[in-house]
Amino acid sequence: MSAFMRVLTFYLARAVGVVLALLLAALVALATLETVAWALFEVSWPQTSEISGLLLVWFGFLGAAYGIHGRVHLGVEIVIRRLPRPWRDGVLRLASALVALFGVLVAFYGAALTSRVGNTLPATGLSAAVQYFPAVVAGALMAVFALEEVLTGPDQAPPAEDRDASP
Amino acid sequence: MVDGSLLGLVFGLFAALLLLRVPVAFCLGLSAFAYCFAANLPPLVVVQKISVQMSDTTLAAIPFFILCGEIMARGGMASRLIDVAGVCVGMIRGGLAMVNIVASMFFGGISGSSVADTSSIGSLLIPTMVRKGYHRDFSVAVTVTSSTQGIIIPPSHNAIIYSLAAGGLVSIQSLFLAGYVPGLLIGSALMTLAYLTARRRGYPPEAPVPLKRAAQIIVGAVPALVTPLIIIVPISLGWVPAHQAAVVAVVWAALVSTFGYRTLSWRGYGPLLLKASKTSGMVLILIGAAAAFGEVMTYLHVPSQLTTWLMSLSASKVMLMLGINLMLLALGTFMDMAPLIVITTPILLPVMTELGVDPVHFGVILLLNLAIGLCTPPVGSTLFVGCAIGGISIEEATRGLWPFYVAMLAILLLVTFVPAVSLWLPGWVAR
Repeated sequence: MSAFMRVLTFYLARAVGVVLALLLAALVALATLETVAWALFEVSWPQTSEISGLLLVWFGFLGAAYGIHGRVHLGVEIVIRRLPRPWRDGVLRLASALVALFGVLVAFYGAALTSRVGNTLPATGLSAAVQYFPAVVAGALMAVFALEEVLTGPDQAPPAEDRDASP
Repeated sequence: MVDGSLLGLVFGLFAALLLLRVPVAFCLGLSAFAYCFAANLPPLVVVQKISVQMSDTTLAAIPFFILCGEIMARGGMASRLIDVAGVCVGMIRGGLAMVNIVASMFFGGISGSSVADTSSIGSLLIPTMVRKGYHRDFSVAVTVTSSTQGIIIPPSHNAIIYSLAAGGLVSIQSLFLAGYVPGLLIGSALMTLAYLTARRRGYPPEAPVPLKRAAQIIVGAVPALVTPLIIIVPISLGWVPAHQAAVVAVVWAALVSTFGYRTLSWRGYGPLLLKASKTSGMVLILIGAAAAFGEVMTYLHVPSQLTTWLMSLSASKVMLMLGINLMLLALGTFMDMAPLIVITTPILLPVMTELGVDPVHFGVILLLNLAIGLCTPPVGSTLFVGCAIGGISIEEATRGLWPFYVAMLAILLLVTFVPAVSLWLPGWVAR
């Protein structure tokens, strides 16, 4: 089971990584277009701001899920560092299980929110549900990535290039 | 359930989750969900609040600044800034320490991240300093403490996080301008300390750079040196919002690195985009979850109750501000900066406003306190990076850091009790 999860999350993380890089590139392109159009021609489109907002929600949620796989999320380690090894491993698995629970809650209530929203976004005319749908996808991904940590344990660290320092 | 027990549930759960090493963003989110379940509120509001907060386009400035810093570090701009610092201050006794501090001033003014600063400048300068006879603890201490200038000197994405955590009530433009004088004061204090240490320990000055070579270095670094201006001038003059200025800096850094310096190929951008995405994603979910948690705190009247309680503790503004500084310093020793900004701002800002402290002034105080926390054990991400590069333990580094802590605390007191240090520049520009 844990071997299957490891393979599954490896490919999922690679796919999410590519999507994240593309989303950031798209955000840069959109903001550049917005800035240049205003600076040179004093033209602005309300749609660009709305689309940027939607891309940011996707980017934020998917980045949060990806960060679970890359173990970049900031936490307080002052207590677990002092615990004996078996206890520490147990606590870290419990912490991952709680992160998985958060992912499930976000996905479940994100789906409920998506199905209930009836209004549309003012500039693009898209259903406001598109703003909440990223929570469904990213919540599920969060749960899968965190579950992998529960199954494989804290010693199965991701590759070094996947880890990062805080800002 | 009465409000008191709900309060206990939310904060008790939050503290328990923190101690279990659940990442801070998820502690905030889970506590918000728990409140909704306990108070019979629809838990949909948690997801709604996170999504709406993350769709704020001002937030785009954060990934853009992080990406800009990454491009500048990998694209050779950081090393050129070090060369310029060498021309400016290398000939002073303890020249490499001076170069380290001034380079951090330049680079911090671009990346806005003390970790990025320590890893890029430290990896170039710490080994060189050690090779030239500087003690390892001193080399690490100078690098780590000088990198905090990046958090204070604009543009700082942490200032944007503060502005958002304050509910968008604090102008990013004013916050950026308020950081200049305190940032320069930190740099000056560290340089004075480094000079005195260099005299005592006999660290040498660097050989002066010949005039022709100095001119070449400065001309070659002009594209890197103007980057902060590209960001700061349009924001300060109110021409563009922060995220648009940040994207211009990204495009500029990419053009200079790819076509000017030719140090970055198109293939090199994939890993940079991914690295910036990871760090940004972590910050964005933190801000989103903090917004949901902030809503819960508002339901529970936490900011107003805390304000009343703190005001009842002492009538002295000085004592209260000292107490808040001590609390922030203590929190900063075991928690990272971004989570602390989003957690403490909604709680402490009303208290400071009640005390008559300008929100911009408090922003600088908060950032400075938490910046010092990044250099202190047991949890200091900048300290960890510096120790890893310098190849010394945290205990060894802490021995070298003590005099620098004292200098930074002195600046913190100055910034806290002389508001003009932070507020003079934004006030002058506004005129």
